[in-house]
Amino acid sequence: MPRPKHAEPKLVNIEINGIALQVPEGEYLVDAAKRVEADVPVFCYHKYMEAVGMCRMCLVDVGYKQPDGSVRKMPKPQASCTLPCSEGMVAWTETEQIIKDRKAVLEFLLINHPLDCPICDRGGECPLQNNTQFYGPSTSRYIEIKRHLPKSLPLSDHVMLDLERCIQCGRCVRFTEEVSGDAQLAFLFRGAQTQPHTFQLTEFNSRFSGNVIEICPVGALTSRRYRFRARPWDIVTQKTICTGCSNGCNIYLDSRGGEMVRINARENPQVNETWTCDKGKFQPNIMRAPNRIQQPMIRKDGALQPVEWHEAYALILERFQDERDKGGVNAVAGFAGQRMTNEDLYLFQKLFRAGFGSNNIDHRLTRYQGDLNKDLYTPLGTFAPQNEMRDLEATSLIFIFGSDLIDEQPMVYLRARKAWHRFGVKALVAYPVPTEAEHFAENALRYQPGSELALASGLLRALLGLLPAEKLDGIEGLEKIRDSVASCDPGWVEAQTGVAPGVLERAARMIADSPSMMLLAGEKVWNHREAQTLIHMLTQITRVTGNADKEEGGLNLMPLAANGQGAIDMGALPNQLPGYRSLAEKASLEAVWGCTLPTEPGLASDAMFQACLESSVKCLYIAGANPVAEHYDPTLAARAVQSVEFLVVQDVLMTETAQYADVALPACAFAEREGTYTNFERRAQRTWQAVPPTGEAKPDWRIFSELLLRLTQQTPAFNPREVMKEVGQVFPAYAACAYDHLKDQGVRWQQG
Amino acid sequence: MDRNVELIRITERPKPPRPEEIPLRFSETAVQELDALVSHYPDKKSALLPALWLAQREYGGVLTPEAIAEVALRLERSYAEVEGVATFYTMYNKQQMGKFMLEVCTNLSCMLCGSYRLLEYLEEKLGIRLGETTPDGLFTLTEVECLNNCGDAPVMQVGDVYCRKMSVEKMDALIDQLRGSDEHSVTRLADAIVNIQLSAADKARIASEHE
Amino acid sequence: MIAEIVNDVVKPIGTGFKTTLRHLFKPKHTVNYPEAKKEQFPRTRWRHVLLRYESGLERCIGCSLCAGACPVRCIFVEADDNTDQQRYSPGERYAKRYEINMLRCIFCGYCQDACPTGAIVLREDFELADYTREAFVYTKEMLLEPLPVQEEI
Repeated sequence: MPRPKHAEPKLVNIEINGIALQVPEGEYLVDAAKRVEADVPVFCYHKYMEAVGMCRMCLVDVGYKQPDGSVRKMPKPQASCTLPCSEGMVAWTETEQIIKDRKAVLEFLLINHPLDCPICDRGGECPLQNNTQFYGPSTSRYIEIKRHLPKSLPLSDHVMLDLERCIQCGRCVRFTEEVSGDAQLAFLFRGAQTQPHTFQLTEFNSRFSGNVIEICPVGALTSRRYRFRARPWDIVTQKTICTGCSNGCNIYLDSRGGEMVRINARENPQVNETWTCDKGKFQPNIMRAPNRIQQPMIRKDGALQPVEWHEAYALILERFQDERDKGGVNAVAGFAGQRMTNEDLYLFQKLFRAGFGSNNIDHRLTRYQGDLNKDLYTPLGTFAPQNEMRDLEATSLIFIFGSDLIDEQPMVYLRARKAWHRFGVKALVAYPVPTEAEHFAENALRYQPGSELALASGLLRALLGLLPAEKLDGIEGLEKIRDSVASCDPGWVEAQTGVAPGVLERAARMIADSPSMMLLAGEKVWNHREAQTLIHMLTQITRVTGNADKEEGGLNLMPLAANGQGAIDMGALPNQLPGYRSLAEKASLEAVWGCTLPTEPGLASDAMFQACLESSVKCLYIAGANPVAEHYDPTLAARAVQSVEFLVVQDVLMTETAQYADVALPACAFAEREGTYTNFERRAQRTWQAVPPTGEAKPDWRIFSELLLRLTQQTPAFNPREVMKEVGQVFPAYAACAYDHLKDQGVRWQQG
Repeated sequence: MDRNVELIRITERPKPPRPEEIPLRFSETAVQELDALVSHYPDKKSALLPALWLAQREYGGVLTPEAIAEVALRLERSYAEVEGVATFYTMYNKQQMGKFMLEVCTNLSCMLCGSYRLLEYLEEKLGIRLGETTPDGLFTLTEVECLNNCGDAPVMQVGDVYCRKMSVEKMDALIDQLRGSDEHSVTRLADAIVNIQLSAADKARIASEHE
Repeated sequence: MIAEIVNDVVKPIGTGFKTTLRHLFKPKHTVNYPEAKKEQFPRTRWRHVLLRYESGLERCIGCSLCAGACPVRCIFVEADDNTDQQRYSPGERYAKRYEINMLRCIFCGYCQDACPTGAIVLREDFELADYTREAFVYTKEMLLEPLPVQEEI
């Protein structure tokens, strides 16, 4: 059963260490004990995995209140990690017996543990070390020679296994089985030889293998990248978020002397629970990349020469203003990157709109470049993506359309898998080739590449036939929808997509029978040849199934890069102002900015690049993007940046695009500055500065702010906090995302 | 432990095999038997133990990595999980055993009735040590825990046959008899265990389908 | 007049020289530093030394516990993997870089207490003065005990 989103849990009265409290029924005692700050040590128990009670570390004394008021104690201590709370439960965590039991359990675990803590990467942050210090015996009665097993064997490029240190808690094995689902680790052999290992010494190539390093309560599984690089007391831990994709995983970035040494997951139950993907956890250290732009550079005599910041600014403003005065506002254009923060994006579009008076600003690298207001928000009456991460557990069907989820949105994949595994949520996958998500999907539609539209139309037609009439009654323009897909009968769909009529029928029935459905659309939709029609078709599917206004269902076009959602929210679009306002609604913006704004829509990215080729756009400002490598049509982008007269590239690395720049500006990498990112579920989350900037790099927002100051002579923003405050004035929904409200876990902005 | 030596030496790990890379060796009968076994349980995972016995029979008395992979593939489980189960139980052979496995009980009753003497005699007679296989691949000598036949101690098990009240003379006779036999005791045991798990209806159906 | 001079000048001088004369025959407390040096107490804590095992392998395993214990954070350790070809210490780990900033060090000896292998010890060498600040950052090469001379058989 899907987990209802707003269910009120039934409360039961329990007592822990003499303190009476109310907890939801079924909550494990080990969690309930945390509420009264009673310490219950654990090894195998993990909040986000199913409890198994393997290590016996969490033993507590338990009794039950009898009707006559007395307490009847269980004869033996119980493992609190597998004991759900029920009415009248009484528990003691610090009795003499329990203290003795803990000592015994730890003494037992330490029989064969090598105690090579000084050279163990876990030493200093090791649950076994901590628990032994707090609860363990001071000496051991076992004087026999310890078991010897291989140490430091690489399981993969990321993970190192030390068999001597393993205490067989099974966390890693359970993780691969329950959470990541690949079950690549299992306990082999028995007795003293029990060891977690992969099949026949093969590589541990799970996409989430890094998590086992973090959940290992000893140093048995360690990171090869972090191996011997630092000890816990050497490093500075900074909370921030990962900018690898639009999931926005909360992470801790650990640095030693200004050098990033590792990334660990930070708990956020709304987003990544406590997981990270390997792509994010083992991402290359962009801060120390060899091809970083170190200082501002201007092309002189065919080569980029280092200059001072003010020279670069002067040149940029001179050329941009000059060309704008000569060729009108369409002679300048800006391309914003999706790796930039909300503050950067906001100031970038402000620079172009208020500074240069041009709407030529875009951020899209995908084929879809339509008007989002018209294509998405008008038909659905709501902002897309509609859902948040935990809706995956509340919905009854997850329809993954045109997305290789594990690659594009790893955390959504994990959560969708959890929804299926824990709550029995069904899944349906439509993708040209087999994907990982098919392993748990009930039904898979494998279509010919590029035939997404035909498939969606066919599904819509089949749905209209299957859905009960009363459900379809209130749908506006139903006849028009019916007509538009009338010709898409199963035979035609099979010819177009290769999906057999039976398979299509089954899929349509699954959708029709589900009370709610979350549609997750990915890269194949954004980059479809007729993306606009396809998106229209998906909105119609959402509407006819009644998911347009459901809380636990809806359409989610998932952005492909870190701040793709923020770029839309901040109005880095040629036809949309911040806050999803059309260009006609510019009055409120003018009031805040104190200037008049252009009314004419600007050029979308394709048109922009085309105009560069035709020399009608003379000056192009690319900030934080690498269209030459990432645009869906790299040749177009490459030709555009080569032929444009004056190109400014502001980026962290000397990218393919930056090679052609006339002015290259160094920007700070994500861990070198602070800001906010909006993830795919519209959750604005803060990043903090973890390491000092490299070279003369500046945060993007500061560069835009300094350019704006030179252009408009207005007081610029001095820090991202102020920028965010201004965003809140312009786009009221973001007022809730001011820095004071964001805290550690971020805020999901609501419409209205 | 040989495996540990191997573990230390390993520098590069191969990728886990893709499903299409696994050579499938289950015979048609075995596939049908597996289907019948799976149908006894609520999910495929539960049929893991009988499926491994099937594999042990089909692969000639040994669970090679390929056998484990095939079972995993047929039951839709991960390779590691199946290997974990196979390595946990000692009756699944991970190494090639002799044609006849001589399993001598050395538990209390048998020990008192002289099973260690028998073991020594066998070691001498076959020229191998406990746990080893004769060079001609005929006999493997092992000791086992109680075979639940203490009244007839000392007891030895060969395949699915109990040899009761063993003595040196009876042992000589048995070895001679086995040398002349062309049975394979290890696969016979596996077959017997599979057959116990199958219901009469299943067996009849499979047999009729084969005619 | 003469009596006054004798009383006020000669007598005090005589008294002074008497003390000098008396001490001339007593054992001396000072030594002729730098030509001669005083013997240090056995537990004096001065310059750090990184010890070796008799086999010549370094005792230090690069665990950084000394750096963790150091109240003034003057120790920096960077560890690396031992390989069979390049073996510095027994076990998996050795210190690739080991630096002590002697300007910061307060010679408290906590590093010595923290060391699990007894690798770092504070010894009697107290002559630590130098001319530049850079020279006070003692590297591993400076701290490490010289290799034991192979005994001839």
